[in-house]
Amino acid sequence: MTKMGSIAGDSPRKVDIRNIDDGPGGPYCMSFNFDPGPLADAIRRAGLINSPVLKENGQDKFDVVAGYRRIHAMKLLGWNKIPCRIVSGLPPLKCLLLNLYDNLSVRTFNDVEKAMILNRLLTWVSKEELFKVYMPLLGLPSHEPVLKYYLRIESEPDEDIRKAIADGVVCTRAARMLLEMDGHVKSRLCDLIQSLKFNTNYQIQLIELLIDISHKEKRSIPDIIDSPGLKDIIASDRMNNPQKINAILGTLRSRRFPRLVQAEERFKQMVCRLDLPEGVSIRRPPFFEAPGYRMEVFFENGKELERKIEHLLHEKNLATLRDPWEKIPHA
Amino acid sequence: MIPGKRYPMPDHFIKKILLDENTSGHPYARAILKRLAGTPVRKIHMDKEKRYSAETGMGKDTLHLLNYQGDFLKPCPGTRNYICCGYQILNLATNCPLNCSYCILQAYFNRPNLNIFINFNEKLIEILKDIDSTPDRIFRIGTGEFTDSLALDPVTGLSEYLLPLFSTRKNAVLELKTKTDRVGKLLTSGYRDRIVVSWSLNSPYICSREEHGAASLKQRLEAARICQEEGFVLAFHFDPIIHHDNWREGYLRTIELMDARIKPEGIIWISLGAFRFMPELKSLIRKRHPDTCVLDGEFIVGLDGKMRYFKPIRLEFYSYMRENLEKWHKNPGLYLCMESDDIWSKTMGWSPGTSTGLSRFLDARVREIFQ
Repeated sequence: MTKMGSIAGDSPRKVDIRNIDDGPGGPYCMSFNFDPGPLADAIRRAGLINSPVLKENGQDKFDVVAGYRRIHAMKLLGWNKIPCRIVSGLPPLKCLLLNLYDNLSVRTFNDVEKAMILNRLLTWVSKEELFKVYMPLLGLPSHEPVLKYYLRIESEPDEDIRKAIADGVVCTRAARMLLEMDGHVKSRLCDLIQSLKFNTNYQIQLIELLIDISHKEKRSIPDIIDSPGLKDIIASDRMNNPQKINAILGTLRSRRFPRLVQAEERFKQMVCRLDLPEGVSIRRPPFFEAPGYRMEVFFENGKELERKIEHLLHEKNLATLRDPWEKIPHA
Repeated sequence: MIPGKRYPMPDHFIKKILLDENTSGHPYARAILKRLAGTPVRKIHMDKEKRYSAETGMGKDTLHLLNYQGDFLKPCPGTRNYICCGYQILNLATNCPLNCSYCILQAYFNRPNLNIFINFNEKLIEILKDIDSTPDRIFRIGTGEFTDSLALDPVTGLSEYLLPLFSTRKNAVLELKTKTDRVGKLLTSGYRDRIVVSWSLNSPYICSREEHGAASLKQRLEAARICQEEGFVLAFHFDPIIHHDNWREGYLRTIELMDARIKPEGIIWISLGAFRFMPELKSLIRKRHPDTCVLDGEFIVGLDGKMRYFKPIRLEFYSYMRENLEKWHKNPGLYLCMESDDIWSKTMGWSPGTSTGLSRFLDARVREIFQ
């Protein structure tokens, strides 16, 4: 592991804000998708407590080592010159680590920021060190696929997708699947997830169903989303978002698992046709995989149980209950 | 490989050899190296080698000669809540040079390469002692679970070692399961008793589209015909049965091709198994075989946590296959691989009830066929 050593910066000096290169692509930047408003408000009220740390980049300009958010906040406040500590001769890795530890002590990182950190670290440290030291430090499991996912986030060109990942609107597993897709496909899916506010579980179901249907029907995912049934649901003004999500997943499920869905419906109809006493229910096993069905009888005393059993014995339709894919037996 | 015909040798696809330091002096390793003379060899220390990942690939062009410290004979892993045949796996090699899209091995092992266990001979002595010490038990042993039994046989010559050992034992059968036609060493061996040569079969569509690197269906059946003619007992495995357009016609065509070449009375058993897979295999299949059709079916989560076809689809598969195989021969030794008691009863007309029951049925087939 790289030792930090001490940062022997001078006391703060005023730097023209125009000379500070504070873009998101900066070599030590690990801030993404933040709102500088609250911090600007705090600086306006209490003043700047810690000066940002800068490093000369050789063209009378400065890279930000630490304090991106503070610089953006001061920009918002309209400051032209800001007090900064300048470090010179500090190796890039030490600058990066200075910023990492500075941030780690006060906040958590979103996934895009973690991706920025890992990408920048990988320029200076080996993969093994990344696995051993820095991924655990960021709360990430040290696995190759996890690293690969984070490296891919950093190279994702679509700002909206990166924002959705940073905000957690798209969950990690869904994001991993999205990032494997072509540009317009993932944008389309990301828009759908964001606009209807799919929860984590539903996001995964949606993407898996769409991928499967796309392979099976040899149609693109946007084409499936634009198919009449789904398009109408998405555009409907009679359903709220949760209802739309249910309807979308239901439609896709019928398309992906036509026989299973048909069997579920048929079984439901068969049970509905029965005249069951109150408190009696009939359940099927998940996916009809285990043999047999289960009847549950709720009763408060033996008399009631006797009455319900008697009722069931006289229910003629009970004999018609069968596996829903079986043909109706001849009388 | 049928004598007199020319087929590409495995050295056609083996591009390099990794030789574990502690195997380099072993006569078996030397014999393999001699057969692959000219192929680059790198000596390695196994612990330093990378593990398999989607990034590293499966190393299907790399033969790795190593010593194996685990058990060489182990029961088929089976699966909970379904009936297993009680087959014993003789674990002499792992991974396979073929590249079937549906292959479970893609998710099963974390070490890449075609691994050949050089120290098997020493371990086999102990296994044979165990077999000999329980003469009342039938050992159904196979090498085709973690690799193809014959794909590398021209290079490894494993059959030359194994056939004499198993052919002379009355309470064991050795099943060599393959999707190739590399039967040359078997045919020249002279050993026939207690040896079962078996082929994995599928519909012509699945064979040609999903079983990359395997022999064509006709080549497999031609090899089977020659083996039968040369006195070997045969077996067939319709596993995995895969749902696809016109699957009925496809599987029927395969049965017709069998009928044209094979005498059914010389078959010890035919297994049927619908495609099932660990959930984690799905993404690997999508990545490695983006154009595959094997994931298109209606899969549900089975009682063992694996993905399986929705029950009525399996019922259709097995009923259809049984009907047509029994038209061919009234007693082909049909059994289901990893299926439930109710599926057995509904499709086969009987059920062994438990894994022990199925073992008894298959043991009886061994006694009947090998007398």
